[in-house]
Amino acid sequence: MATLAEARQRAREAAWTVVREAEVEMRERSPSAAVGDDRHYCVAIADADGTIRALSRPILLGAVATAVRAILDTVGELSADEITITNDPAAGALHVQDFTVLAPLGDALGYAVACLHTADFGGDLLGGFNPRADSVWAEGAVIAPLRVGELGAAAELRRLLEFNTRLPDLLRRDLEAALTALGRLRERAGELVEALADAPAATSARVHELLAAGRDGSYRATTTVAHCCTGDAAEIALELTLADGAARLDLTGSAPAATGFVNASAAAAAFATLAPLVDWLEPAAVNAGLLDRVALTLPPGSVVAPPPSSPTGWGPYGTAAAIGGLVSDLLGQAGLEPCSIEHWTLAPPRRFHMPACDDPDCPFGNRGDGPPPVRRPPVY
Amino acid sequence: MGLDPITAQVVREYLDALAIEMSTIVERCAMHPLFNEVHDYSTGVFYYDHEQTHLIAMSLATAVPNHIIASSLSVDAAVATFGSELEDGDVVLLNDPYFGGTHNADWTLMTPVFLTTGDIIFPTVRAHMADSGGPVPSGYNPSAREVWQEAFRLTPLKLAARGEVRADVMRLLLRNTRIPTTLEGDVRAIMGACLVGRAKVRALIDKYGDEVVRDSMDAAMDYTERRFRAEIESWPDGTYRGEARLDHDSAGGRDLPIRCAVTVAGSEVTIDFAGSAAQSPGNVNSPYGNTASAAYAALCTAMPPDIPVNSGLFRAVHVQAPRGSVVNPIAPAPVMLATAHVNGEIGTAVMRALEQVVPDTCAAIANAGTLLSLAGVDERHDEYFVTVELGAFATNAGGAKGVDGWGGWPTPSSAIRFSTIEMLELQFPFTYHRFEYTTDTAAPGRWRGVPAFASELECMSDQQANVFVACVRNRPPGWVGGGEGAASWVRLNAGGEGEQLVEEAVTNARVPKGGRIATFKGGGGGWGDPWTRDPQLVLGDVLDDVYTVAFARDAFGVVISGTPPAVDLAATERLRSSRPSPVEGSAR
Repeated sequence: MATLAEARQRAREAAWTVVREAEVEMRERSPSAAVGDDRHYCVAIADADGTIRALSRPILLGAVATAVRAILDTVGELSADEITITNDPAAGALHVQDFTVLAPLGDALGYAVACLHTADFGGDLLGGFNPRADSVWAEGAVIAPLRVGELGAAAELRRLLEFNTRLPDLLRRDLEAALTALGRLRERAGELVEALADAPAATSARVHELLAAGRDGSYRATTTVAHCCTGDAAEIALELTLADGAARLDLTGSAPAATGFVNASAAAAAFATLAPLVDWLEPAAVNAGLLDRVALTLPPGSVVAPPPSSPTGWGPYGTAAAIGGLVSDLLGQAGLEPCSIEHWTLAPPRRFHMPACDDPDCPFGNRGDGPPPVRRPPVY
Repeated sequence: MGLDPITAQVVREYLDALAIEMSTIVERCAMHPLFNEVHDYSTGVFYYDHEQTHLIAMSLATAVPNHIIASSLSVDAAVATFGSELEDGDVVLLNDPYFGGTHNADWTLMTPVFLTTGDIIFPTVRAHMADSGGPVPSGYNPSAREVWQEAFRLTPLKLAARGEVRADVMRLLLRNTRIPTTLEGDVRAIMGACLVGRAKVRALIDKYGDEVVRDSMDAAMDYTERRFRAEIESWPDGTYRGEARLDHDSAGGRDLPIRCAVTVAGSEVTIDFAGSAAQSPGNVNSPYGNTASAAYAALCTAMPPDIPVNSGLFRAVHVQAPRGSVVNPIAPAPVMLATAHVNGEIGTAVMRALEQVVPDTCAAIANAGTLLSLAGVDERHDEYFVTVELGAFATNAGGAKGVDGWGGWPTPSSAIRFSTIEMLELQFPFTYHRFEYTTDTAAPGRWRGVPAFASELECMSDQQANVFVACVRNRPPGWVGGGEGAASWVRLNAGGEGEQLVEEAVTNARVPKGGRIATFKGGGGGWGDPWTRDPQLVLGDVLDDVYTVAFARDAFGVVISGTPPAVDLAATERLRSSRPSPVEGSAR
């Protein structure tokens, strides 16, 4: 006979499966290669305080947690029939191509969240990846968290979104896919929230156990993110402090925001910093309980939490990989298992044009040139 | 019972006065110098009668015709978007050039006042915002090849709903500008003007009743239509053709033709732009509303000034602009420069045609020639700024019959004014070393053009400049035998290392702290044969340093000598009778 703890764990895993099903539904409905191939999306459940209880793409814990917190802090109370939408890197988006849609779960139970990367949202270049951008507006238009009474009914806002992209059909269908996923979660809101009630506590305990295995102390490392097109060479400084089964990851000392698009939005920096730790856990066990044991400091105005006007297009890729690498190195120094963050922090594997600078070693020009992309089967 | 004509006139004048009051509110309350100094905005009152939108009143002395005439299309777009969802207390906002806008910098705000008949009156403001996001500060992006490369597109949107400002929508606006504090102040000033307009329209309706107000508006339009048609009927029937050319489109196109055929038939006028250049990849494309505005503005210039400007005028005029052309582009063509170029060329082409019909009332109608926008950090306040430097821009109003060029803006933008350099230096990190008219540059004519205007400013911080230069090969034209204006130019880092003469356009050029930008802006053309100009007026010009003695002799055939200088009438008569007018040489 199963113990109560085992039963609770099974309930949590079942709930996580529902979240994954919602994600699959979003992926299958979205026409975007960024969603279908690159898995640049996430579906999540948060409680009434905005604490993430479960998410379909564990690696994005830091990003989704940042987005939910920023949205709720900005828009305040939402009525049951409202949803909010944003792509604002200063409000939890990885970069302007990433839309987050958040909907309340009935009876103030919590929130359902869907994030996805859409192919274009205006700006200087199709696709938004702009090595020469010196502002976020050169990457795309910015939708600060916007209240929408059910998006389908809000014709004026739907029109506004569609007229600010070069690919309106694609954006429309991406957002419809996100809404479908949210609808799925809303249908089973009560059951999910109940099943996930003790998920953060269980995760917190597990993370404590894992961190306690390391050697207490402070560990520091730096790396530099270079951007030849704009002449940026921004240092990222990280200090890991391990004590009593808790960790503090402090990026204070990192360089001021770069001119160009190598800045990591706060969401990108949070995702990259937490990603190696997330890798220790079973996917179903990843939730905000991890943040009970891991404190994160991102200095405002820096390359890892840039001002709202800063471009951030490359943040979730090269810069995130650099941050994740630092974290992994320091975990290793502390006697913990070093983990790499997932491969998708590298550039998407399809061809897309970016205007390179004159530097023959410029890493950005015509990124992804090669054979035509092949749609890969989904990876679970 | 018929409408009392006195009451009808009172209602019309009330609405005119309201438009002026709204204009004053924007001027006094808005923050950016583009409003409180330069006056790049317009106010008006529109009327939707369930079939179409009519312009009823505008703040004539302070409105930019380009803005306000096109605004009726924006009101149409708002009504089409919201229909029965429009409610009392709503404020609708849009800037999209493909929703009746002129260019994306021009935001239109309006608020509905409902009549019991279901008709709607809209107090409306259209205003040029200094920055609306987009890759380039100010949106003047010569490199733009799509509208998204210019600014955030605001399709019709309720900024306020039932009297409450929507915080999230306001946040959205402020997130898509580099100068949110200023923009919020400007938007709130404009909303304030709309709300005062709403209260005053409501008061008018309360006093006179729906039917009297509605009938008075109809009467105002009928009156304008009658006067306008009567004027047109005095013109000989026929088709008159005009053409103007734009030097370039900042995308490789050169000498883009704008052609129009003005057909007068009885009391109707048709203006057809068939044969104009195809839609350009550059940012000079003119949305239909902007094109129609430029055409109407040219027509209004040819009319007696006491005809009230409202939609009654439009009833007799038909503007045809081929889709996919530079005068009626298909989205997503970029359009940001449209209000200057190709607007000026549209007006000039129409005026060229009208010159054949009503030569005594034709005059310079070309805008701009150079456009300079600057952005950077004002180190005195550690604040980002964006502005259009209008010292490099204005003074195109050339001569007209009976008056010399006066140095202001020509008709399509007539309410726009210079900033004073003292205010500019206070408000932006600029120090001016030159800001003056120049000698021997005014286009000759019986009524001469305005002298070219030269400025040189020093950037007091590192700044980004976007520059567009036109009217070099195709200079501001003269009329009825008057001479052309001078060619324009802009130099970046003038007199310093890396000095650059801007041939056509530059995007995001860096001007370092201490660098200078020199501009030279050709004035509008002259009117009439310069050799018929009153010699005493030429003497006055010489005494005012408008011309040198040598230029007066060469261009006007006026001989001036002695101390103090005086006209040698005998020598002048001999000279004038001995050789033809050198009008073709025009200004230097």
